[in-house]
Amino acid sequence: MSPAATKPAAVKITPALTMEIAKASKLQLTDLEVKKFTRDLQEILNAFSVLDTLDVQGVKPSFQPVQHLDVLREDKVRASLSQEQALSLTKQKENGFFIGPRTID
Amino acid sequence: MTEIPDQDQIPEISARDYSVQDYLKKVKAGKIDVVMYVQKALEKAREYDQKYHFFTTICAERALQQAKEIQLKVKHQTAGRLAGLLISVKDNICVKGVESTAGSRILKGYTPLFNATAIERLEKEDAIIIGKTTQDAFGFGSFNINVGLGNAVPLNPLDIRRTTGGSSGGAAGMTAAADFVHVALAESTGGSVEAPASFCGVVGFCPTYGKISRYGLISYADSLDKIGIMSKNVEDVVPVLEIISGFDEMDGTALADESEHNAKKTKRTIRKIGVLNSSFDKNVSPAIQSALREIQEKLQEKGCSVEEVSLPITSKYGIAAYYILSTAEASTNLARFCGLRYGQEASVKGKSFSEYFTEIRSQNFNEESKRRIILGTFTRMAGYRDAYYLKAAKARSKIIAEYKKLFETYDLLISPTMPLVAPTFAEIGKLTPLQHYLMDILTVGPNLAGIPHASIPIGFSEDMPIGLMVMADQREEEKLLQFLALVEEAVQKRNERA
Repeated sequence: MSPAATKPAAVKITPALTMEIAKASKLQLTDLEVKKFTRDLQEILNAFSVLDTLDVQGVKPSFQPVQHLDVLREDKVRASLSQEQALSLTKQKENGFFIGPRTID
Repeated sequence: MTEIPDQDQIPEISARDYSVQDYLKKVKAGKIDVVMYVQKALEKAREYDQKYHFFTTICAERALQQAKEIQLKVKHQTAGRLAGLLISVKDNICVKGVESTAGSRILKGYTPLFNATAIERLEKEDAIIIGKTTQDAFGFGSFNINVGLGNAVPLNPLDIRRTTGGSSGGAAGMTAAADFVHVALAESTGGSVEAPASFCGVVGFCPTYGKISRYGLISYADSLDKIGIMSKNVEDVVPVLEIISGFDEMDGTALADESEHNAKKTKRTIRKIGVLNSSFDKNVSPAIQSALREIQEKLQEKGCSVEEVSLPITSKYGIAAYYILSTAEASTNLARFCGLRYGQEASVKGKSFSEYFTEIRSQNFNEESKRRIILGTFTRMAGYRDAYYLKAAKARSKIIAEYKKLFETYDLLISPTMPLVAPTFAEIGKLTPLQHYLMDILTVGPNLAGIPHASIPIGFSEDMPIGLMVMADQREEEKLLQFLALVEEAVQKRNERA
């Protein structure tokens, strides 16, 4: 774990970090957005650093709130979308396939 | 309820006079012309929409076609249990063949090829969907001002200078304004049913996490999202809740059917009520505190014991835990919206996938969506994940335990729903994003704990409604509804607006 991970309050959000996060999120921000989100993120994370003061030693995380038993559905074949239906919501299609952007530069 | 006249005397059946049950009985008995009723309701819905911007889509043709079919079924005595009941649906719940965008621009043009399970169950019982209601895009907001690019902000029908609340603003506004019999399907992640219900003066009911299937709900944060119900009064929640609840194999988190919990369904005497001491913090308006004190007295008159209790962990850490978890989940859920296969698209020619996805997402997500994606991506990044996301998930465990402990002693918990009445748009404009998030201080707790809760109107301040939030232990919907009816009866006079 990095030092930042143990002390969130110490995290310094810079415009460069905001742009790095945006890039990972596939977002191109304007200069104004970079400025605004850098300021907002810093303010929000400073407030959330209150979590540093909570003792969670030995506490298991809850990834959802209600205890469930494992539920398996029967393994049976059922109707799914036809190829025509699946393609019906886009203009970018050809010969029964979706057209997408190129994946190799 | 007033005596209902025969069909030939009914120009309109007003929701002010008739409950859902009254209406359903009349339809079943053939005393209401469903087609005519739907036509009139659609005209009114269009009027409300022009004035207050409650809808993203009104599906008139579909509704009228359904009405004609139901009219025939009524004639042949084959109509379902909700025959002719008009339902508006929050835009993030998929309705087959009706544009469903979660209030966003990036999903403009998306018309689902399937119904959400809740819709499927309603339509199987012959309810009629009239349209999709306005919301903050993807549910990201408490005031419904974060609408998708190009969408209109809904206005509070009690005072158009004020917010409806969010994110289910269109649903709450429509429920408050509609003078025809109608129920709204809404959705809460951290308070999106309760806040707008409080600001618009209607009942907003949010069940235990998993009680209503999320299949077909456009996700904000899967571990928190719950479909809920809004109506003018408590008894109108029941017929809809009964139909849409229950196990669904299409949702891995749907609760198993309730046979194992039947014991809890027995009607019990409600004796002990805990009132959260955070209700009297300095950030809660004095008028709301005073309304709560009055309710306490009325409950005591009705034989309940009311004591102040505290949830120190929830009060201190709830907002941070909620926003870290919800934005982390949202940032992954929104990764699927990239301009391919459905929704907004542009030409892909000559573009790499990275260029194309970045272009579509940057042009079509609104500011708050970008802010939450960035926050959520950050808290999941290597080096930060344990300190934020994992810590928040552990905080959530402590919050759940804290509620459970109180429910060992108290039947129900109460607090105001919101710390203030619906603010004006001018007041909202002065808040920073963090101050927006802090407005959810009273609603994030029950949402993190997955417990059933509801907002119910208990009077007015500044001529605007005040909401009381009532919380029950997980799977205790019956007890919650029983108590809400008691509150409704106790505050009947307070809810008559000056």
